[in-house]
This record gives sequence, C-alpha cells and structure tokens, in this order.
Amino acid sequence: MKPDQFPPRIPSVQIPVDRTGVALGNTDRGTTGVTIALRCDREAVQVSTRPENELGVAKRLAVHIGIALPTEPGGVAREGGLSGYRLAPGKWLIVGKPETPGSLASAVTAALDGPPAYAVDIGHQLVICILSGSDVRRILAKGSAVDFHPSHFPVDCSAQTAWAGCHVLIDCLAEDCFEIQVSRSLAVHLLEALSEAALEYRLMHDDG
Amino acid sequence: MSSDQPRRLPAGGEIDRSATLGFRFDGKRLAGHPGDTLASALLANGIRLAGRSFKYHRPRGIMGIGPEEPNALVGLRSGACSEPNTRATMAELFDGLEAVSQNRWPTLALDVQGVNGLIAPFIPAGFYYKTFMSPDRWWTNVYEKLIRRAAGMGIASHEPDPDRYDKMNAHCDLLVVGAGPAGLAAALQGARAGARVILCDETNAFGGSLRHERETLDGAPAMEWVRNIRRELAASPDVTLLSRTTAFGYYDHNIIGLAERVSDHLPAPADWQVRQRMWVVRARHVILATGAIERPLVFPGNDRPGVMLASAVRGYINRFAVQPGRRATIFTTNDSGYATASDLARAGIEVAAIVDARENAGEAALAQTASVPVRFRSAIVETGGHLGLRQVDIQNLGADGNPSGKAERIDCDLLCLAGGWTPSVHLASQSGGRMRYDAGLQAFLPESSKQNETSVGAANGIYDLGDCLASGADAAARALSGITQSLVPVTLPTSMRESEAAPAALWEVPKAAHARSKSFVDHQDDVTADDIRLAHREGYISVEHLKRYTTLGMGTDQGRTSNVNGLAIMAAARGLDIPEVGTTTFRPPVSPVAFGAFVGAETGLHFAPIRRTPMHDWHVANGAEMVEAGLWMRPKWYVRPGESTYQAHQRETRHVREAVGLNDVSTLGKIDIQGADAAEFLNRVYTNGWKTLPIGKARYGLMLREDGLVFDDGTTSRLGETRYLMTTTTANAATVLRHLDFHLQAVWPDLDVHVASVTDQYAGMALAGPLARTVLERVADIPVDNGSFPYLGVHEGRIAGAPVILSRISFSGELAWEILAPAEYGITVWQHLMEAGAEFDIAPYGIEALANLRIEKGHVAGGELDGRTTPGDLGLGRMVSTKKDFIGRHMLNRPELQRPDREQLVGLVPVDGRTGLRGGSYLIADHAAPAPVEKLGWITSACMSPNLDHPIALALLKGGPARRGELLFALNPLENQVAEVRVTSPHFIDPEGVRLEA
Repeated sequence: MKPDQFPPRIPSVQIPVDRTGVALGNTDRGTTGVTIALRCDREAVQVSTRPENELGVAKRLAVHIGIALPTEPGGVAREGGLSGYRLAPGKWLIVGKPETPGSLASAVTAALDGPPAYAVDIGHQLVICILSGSDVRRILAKGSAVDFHPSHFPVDCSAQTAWAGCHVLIDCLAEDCFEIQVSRSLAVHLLEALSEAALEYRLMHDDG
Repeated sequence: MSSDQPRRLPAGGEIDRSATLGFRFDGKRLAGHPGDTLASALLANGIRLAGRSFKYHRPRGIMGIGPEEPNALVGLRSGACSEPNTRATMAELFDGLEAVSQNRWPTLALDVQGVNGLIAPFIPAGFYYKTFMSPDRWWTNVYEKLIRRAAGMGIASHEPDPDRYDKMNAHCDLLVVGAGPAGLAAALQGARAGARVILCDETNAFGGSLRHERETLDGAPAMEWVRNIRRELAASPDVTLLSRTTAFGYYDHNIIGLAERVSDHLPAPADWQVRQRMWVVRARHVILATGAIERPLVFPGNDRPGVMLASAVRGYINRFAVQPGRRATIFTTNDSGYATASDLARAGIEVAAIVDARENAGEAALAQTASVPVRFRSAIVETGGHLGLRQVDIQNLGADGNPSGKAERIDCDLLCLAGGWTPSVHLASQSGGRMRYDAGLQAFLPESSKQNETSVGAANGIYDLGDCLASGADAAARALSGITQSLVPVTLPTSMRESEAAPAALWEVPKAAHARSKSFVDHQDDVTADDIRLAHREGYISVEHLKRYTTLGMGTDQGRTSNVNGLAIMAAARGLDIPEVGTTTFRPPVSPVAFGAFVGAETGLHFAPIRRTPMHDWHVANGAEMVEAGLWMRPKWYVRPGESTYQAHQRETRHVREAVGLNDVSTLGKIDIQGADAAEFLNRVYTNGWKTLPIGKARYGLMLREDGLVFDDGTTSRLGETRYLMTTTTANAATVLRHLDFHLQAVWPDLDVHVASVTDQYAGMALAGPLARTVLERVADIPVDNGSFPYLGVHEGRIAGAPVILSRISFSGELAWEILAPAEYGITVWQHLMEAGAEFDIAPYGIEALANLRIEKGHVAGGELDGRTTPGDLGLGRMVSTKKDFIGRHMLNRPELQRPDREQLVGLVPVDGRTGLRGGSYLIADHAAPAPVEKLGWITSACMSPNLDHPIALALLKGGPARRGELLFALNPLENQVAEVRVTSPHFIDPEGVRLEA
C-alpha cells in the first residue's frame, strides 16, 4: 500500500471555529495568559524491546532514523522534526511531522528490521495540544501533581502524568510553551478542562 | 461617632472610611466600610445579639474575632448561593451582603424555643440517648424530627451550586502557615535564601496578631514592618503569597491542604473567576505559625452577648475602629488582659474594674491600668441581662478557691475575658507530632515532629514579640540549611521585652451561693461544666468519650475556645493532672471547607473523563441520543421523525436482520501484540488454542481470571508472522491490557512479547445484515465473496482510499464485517459505507439495538460476564482446552466450579407471549409458595425481540440446559411483577449459525 495515495486525514478533534483567535476569560489580565492550539497532523510510533536490548536498539535507531533516543526517564530527544520520549524501560515514543504520511512508521519499522524490537504506528491515536503563554505553568499545575517549576521541569523535560483524569505526556518545548499528548478519544475532554482551568487568565484558542 | 454606625470610632483601624458598604442583617439595612468583617460591622452598628445557641436557644453575641468564634454563626447570601453556618468573624463585608441569623423562630430577639432554657435541667448532655428509647418506631418518625427541628444550625440549599471551584498543586521548599510576626520572619528568611516559599494566612491581610495590637518594632508601629516585609516578599520571584487561605489539613508526606477563598469577599465572582480554590501543597518543610487563641473563663452566666475575649476586644478597637461596648469590666488570670484596659480607655470606653484571679500582676501590666480599680484574688461569679450583658457580680476568692464575702454588682455592657492562651496545635497534631502539657503556660505544646515541620511563635507557646520573630527566622534557617546554598541569617527588628507575672490556673469559677446561671465551656455546642461532670459520673471519662457524649469541641470552631477548659474540668473530676487526661485527636479540616473546593471542576459532565469516538459528531448530527458506556459516549439509538425511542431501536434491530446496519464499535479495546512468542502468550492467556491460527484469520477467545472465572472475551486476529491484534470488551479494555502487561513483566519475563494499546488508533465499525456484502463490495478494493473472504477471515484493504483492516466476525449473528480504519479516516470510511448502503436504507444502529441483536443470538455480554460465571456456565465449555495450561485452568477444576447444578445460561420466553421480562428478576418455581422461596436463578438480560415479535431473556438458572421446557416464574419485587416463563435455548435466532456464514 502506498501511503502517498491515502485520502486526507480529517481531524476528529477541532477547536470550535467561533472560539479561535478570540480572547476569553480574564481579558483584563496584563499578561499573555495562555494560548491553546491543537496539532492533528503528527505521526507517532511506539517502539518496544526488552530492557536488556535498550541500548542496542537506541543505537540502531540513532543510526537509521537519526534520533538518539533518551535512555533516562523524563528525557526528550529532538532531531530532524522528531521528538523521542522514553516511556518505560525498553519503550519509546517517537513523534513528528514527516514529509509524507505514514513514512515515520514505515521508516522505524524498517530500521528495526524485526526482533528484538517492534514498532506500532499510533499516529492516529494521539492528539497534541500546544499550550503557550506566561501563565502556562500555573495552568498545568492545576491538573497534575508534577512540579512544573522551571528548576524542576526545564526545557526538553517530559513527564507522563494524569491531567483531568486523562493520561498525558507533557513535554516542555520552551520556557513558556508545552506540548501535551493525549489519546484521541479524550482530547475534547482535556481541551475543555484546560480551557476551564485557563479562564482566570487571558485565554486564546488557536486553530494551529 | 457616625450616626449610621453608632459604635464606629472616628479614626484609626484598617477600614476605608471613604467608602460605605450597605448590607442587611435579618432584613435590617446597615452600613459598614471596606476592611470590615460582618462581625465588626454588626458591632459598629451597635448590634450585639448575633445568634441563638444550638440547644438551649440562648441569646448569643460575638465573642471572638477570628476562626475561634463559637457564637456568631450566620447564613450568607440566598438561593443556590446560600451559605449556612458562616462565622461572622470570618466573613468579609461587601456591598449588598445579605446575612440572616440562624436557629431561631420567629425572630432573633423573640425566639419561641428560648423556652428550652427553662427546661434545661431536664435536657442535659446525652439526654436524648436516655429519653427517646421507646417505642422504636417513634425514633425516626417522631423523635428525630423533633430533635432536628429544635436543635441544629443553618439550612443548606438544595439547588446546584452555580459557582466554579478550582484545584492547584504546588511544591515548595518552605510552606509557612500563618502570616503573623513569626510566620513573616520565617518567610523572609526563606525568601532571602532564594528558597521556594509559600506563605498563607486565613485573613485578608498579613500581620496576624500585630493587626490587633499596638505593638512597636524598632520604635515604630509594628504594622510598618509588616508592610515592608510583605512588599519584599511580593517582589521575590519564588515566593507565593496567599491571603484568605486556610491550611485545613496536614497529611502524610508533608502534603498540606489549603482552601483559598478567592472571591468569597465579593458580591459574586466574575464569569472567569472561581469562588474557592483547593491547594495541594507538597512542602519540603512546613513552618506552623498558627498563633494562639485566647481562652474564655468558665463561670455562671459567661455566655451573654457582650461577653467577649479580651484579645478580640482589642482587635475590634485597633483593627476595625469599633467600640464593642460603653462600660467594660476585665476578668483576667494573666497579664495580657491588662493591655485591654488602655485600649478600652483610648476608644472612649469606661473601664469599671479589672478582676484578676491572682494575688498580683506584673509591673508592666499594672502600668496600663491608669486609674482603673483592680480587684485581685477575685472572680466574676454571675452576670445579668436578657439579650445582652447589663451587670456582673464580683466576689473575692477565698483560700480554698471558693467565692467568699459579699458579691459586688457592677453595671457594664462589655466583659473582657482573658483566661490564658491556647496555642493552635491542630496542624502539628495532624502531622503526627506529639503534644506535651506545659504547666507553666497552662497549654499543650508540640513536643516532637513526625514529619518535616516546626511550630514557631505563639503556636509553640512563645508569646514575646521578639522571641516570636526569632523563632520563625531560626526555624526557617534550620529547615533550609540543607536545601539552599545562600543562607544568610536575617536581621530582625527589636521589640520591648516586658516581664510578666505568672498566670493563674482558673479553669472554672466555683459557683457562688447566689449564682443561678450555667457555666458554659463550649458555647457553640451548649456544653456546660455540669455536663462534663455528668459525663464523668456516667463513666464517660476518656476525653474521646467525653467529646462524643457531650459534643464538646465538635462544632465549626473545633473546640478552639473550649477544649482545654473542658479537659481541665474533667481532670479535676477525675482527680488527675491535665496531662494524664490527655487531648482528643485533631482531625482535618481545622476549619470548615466548602464541598465545592474539594470537588473542584470535576462536576457534571466533567465528573470523570469522557471519551468520544472519531464518528461522535456524525452521530450527534444524525439524531443519535448519546449515552455513557463506561467513560465512552455511544449512540443509544437514532430516532427518526415521528418515532419513539422504543420504535427506533426496534426498527434498527429488525433492519439489521432484514437488510443492513452500521454500528460504531470504536470503543472496543484493541491491543497490538507482537513478538516471537506471541502465539505462546495467547495460548497462555486464552482458554482455547492459538498456535494453529493462520495469518489472515481471527478467532474468538475466552480469558479467565486466576480463580477460574470468566474475565473477558473477544476476537484476536493474526496480522503477520509475529503480530496479532486483540479486541476486548469496551468495559475491560484497560483491565485486560494491565492483565497482559503484568503477566509479561512479572510472570513470564522470558517471553518475547510486547503489547500496546491501539484502541484510539482505529475507528471501528460493524457492518451487519444480509446485505452487508452488497454494501461492502461497492466500497472495498478487495473481493469479499465467501470464497475469497470466508467467515473469520481477516484482510487489509482500502475503503475510499483509506487503509482498513476487515474482519469477518459477527456479534449480531448476521453476515457481518468489522472494519478498522485509522481514526482520522474513520469518518471518511463511515460516510462511504452509509452512502453505499443508502439504496438499502442502511441503518446506523445504537447500543440498544446491538443488545437486542446479541440477546436474540444468545451471545454473552456484561450481564452474563459478571465475574461469577465459568465457561461451562455460559455454554462455552467446549472452548476450554484440556491439552494446554492457561491462566485459571487449575482453579477452574475446583469441585464448586464443576457442580452440575450451577447457574447456567438459558433462554426464557413469557408463556403468554407478551409480558415483558426485566433484567434482575428472580427465577422461582412457585410464586404462590410461602417464603422463603428457593431462588433458582436470575434474568441477566432481556429485551423485546422485533424479529420474534415477543419478549425474550437470557438467564442463569440452576442446572440450566437440563431444565429446557420447564415453566418457572420470573419475580421482580421492585416492579411488583410476576411472569410465567418457559425455559428455552439461549439461541433464539439461527442457532445453527447459518446466517453469519452466508
């Protein structure tokens, strides 16, 4: 099957048109507040191997995919538009925006070349929320017990946690910008909860 | 004095006289100023009567100035926003505030139930335990209602709370609870060391006791120092300042709960604003600077409006510029009471006398008395006045401590009580720390800490201002010594140290011969000294029993003003020292916290996460009524114009059997299983064999728990040499994944198998019905005829260009395909199938029709997979392999699980062919037999079958299959329904399975 012949993806999670670009909540707040945007065009692959094979598989992917996957919890690797996260011993998530749909899963599968590592395409499973603005760490703290202070959660740090009852992976992209990955079925719920939490700051929705 | 606020002083205080706030109390229009509390505004308006007591309905006034207030409980706001039992001392005044007194009828001044005071001798503590014994049925129907009407507090609204609440997690090096002098010094030390500091205080501003007194630091008013420190803290980047925030609970791992009243001081929160916020703080170290509460004295008539704590009187004068009375008497056992005399005089209040239970006072104390007569070795022995204090009786205390000589009556409308100080050790106790009794200070103090916490200042029995500051800063420095590198001790201001004479231990004034009034210990719960002695006489001598028998310390004030006095009176009754009696256990919350703050935003539809399928919006747009199925929202039915919901699901059920339907099955759990040992793994988790499943085939599988009972079922497809795709029931998706992962990590780590949830990766849809092939042929790019695509075949293909996995499996028993498309192609594939089936009026069908179809077919689901059934019970015994091991095999062979008369799956039909059957009904042999009747089984699922045109049901029946043809009764006591039923096969339609092989 040739991926380039696939029809266009139709996001099942979208910010309502009438909310994009409109300042909501405490609009008098003299800060940038927070902006919430969605990214529905990312590919994602989960890679699994037995823990004792971790270093070997990481090296293999570094050579063939060009990303040196982290081998410590909470680390993030970024290379060529891809981000790599260590989910558990012997388990990574690679997320990115490839040039052609489906190419990431195919490339990773090809690079692994079978046992002892395996890849699962979960590109349609994840929805990515981008939160940015001066109050973003306060909003994140409302839903998760993770310490989001810059000294504990600096740029290129990630954590798997629960937010509004949803399992999420939170990745610090910049001092005031975070990416939240959530399962597609929970994305609307999470978006609503994030928006509710952000109301006391200046809230903007961005259609991305 | 202002005419509209007759007791407001012309100058001083923290109030803003440039603005006036209007409010109502019991409907009466009154005025106050920004900075007032409801209590201070009431006093400024000359209102002393604020409430009625809990049991005796005695007139009560404002006694304290903060969270310790036992009397002035009022209802605030109205309708859905009404808030009962609010302490007037903690409610900040705002324009338009509506407050009402509680527990009175018809009015506060004329309360009919004030008659309770006359029958008080008959209703002491615990009287209801002894009085309302019989007849039994009267307890709930009569006695409880009477007691609840006669006693109690305010009434909560039954309407939904319209306000929003919020939660916040926070981490810090230092959490400082209390922003009095010790707390501020601790926070300052932390801030200057660069630590992450949270400083919270339950009032609207920082300063603690300094706001109420006229202390000086370095020769300047102490509040100037407070303002400077606050500015510095606010400018520190890692310092969080939280006013109006109560630390209500201390939990394990140094987790402290804070309740922030974000907008309680406003008429209504803004649209974007929450009313209250719950903080969950994880602190490396906690400094408890919670201060101390002044104790009242216990003597006859000590509860009349106008009897106040001396420290509160000073606070109302100095912070709120209010004159709490016109002529005052001070009754003290220590030097701190004397400071009240000079404040009273400054506020223009005549001081009639200072009554000191001691032989003498300290020099500094005496210096504040001016010309006020001091009566040493004396006590107040009785008071007078109906709705407010009018006079007090003073008598000398003899060598034996009893009143002696002639009583002297003094007219006064204000009595200031200074009975010593009780450190606020609630949080220290909750942290697990132990308390010790300090006989010199007559107080329980924190002795040891179980967690990283330190009590400082008055909370640790340190009352000198300079010592308070030092204790806060020192504690912070010690706590941070291992945390920060830049620890430089702060320089603290100095205060004048004054020597004090020792306080007297006067826990209760012995009753004078002429005294008739009660001596109240716990004003909020109407517990008297006599009640405590009654508890002692009746054997309730443990402090925990005393608390429960008398309700001592159980009110919203949590015994702040009553506990120590009560324990001392019990100690005296038992002839023990106070430490031998001990204290009760302190439990969260320290102060009342609104339920809304605990709940936060997790209400209504956000009570739990909601999961939506990729076709959710299509369902809503096409008339589906969505229903919660676990966390998922699923279409229940699609009602067409003119249809009832019943007609809708009956139509959908019929159409699938007669033509074709489409159902969203995205909610089914989907697990990707890969690895060289995947087949062996499946062989171990399923009861049936998996090693021979070829690529491109699916198989139905049954999982057991370790105990041999059925856990879950579903199909698993082999997609490649080492790759499988498992489906689970919607309800058990996460549980099955956890089950598999656990066994891979903990039981069979040698297996090369990897599992991953792909439930959200795919949109799932079931195309079912005799015309399913006709529809699929129009959109799929692969052949779907019986030869190319037989039953249980699995193939990858494309629909509308989108990649899909097609499986020929069926839950309805009809010719069917399950189609999995990557989620963001889901709506594309769904719409193509609907368009392709339009010619046949393809019916999207909901979970009600899905249930009807599976009951007609006799397929088991949640009602039958209830965690109590074995494969044999469900008619699936043939799926249990005898040639291999699997999870649950050994326990399945237990004799109990092999009994032939176990409840087993059968079908039921009503004998009359029309009586609807209900899930949960009992099956019995004779409904006319006298009780007890043997229960033979129960109905697990039931529906009206549109294809059979009569009701049907599945049931678990003792010895099930052997009883086919028997007539039984289905009894539903909840609906008062009895139906005669015939036992049948559970497979009502197409028992040979011909249709799905079509």
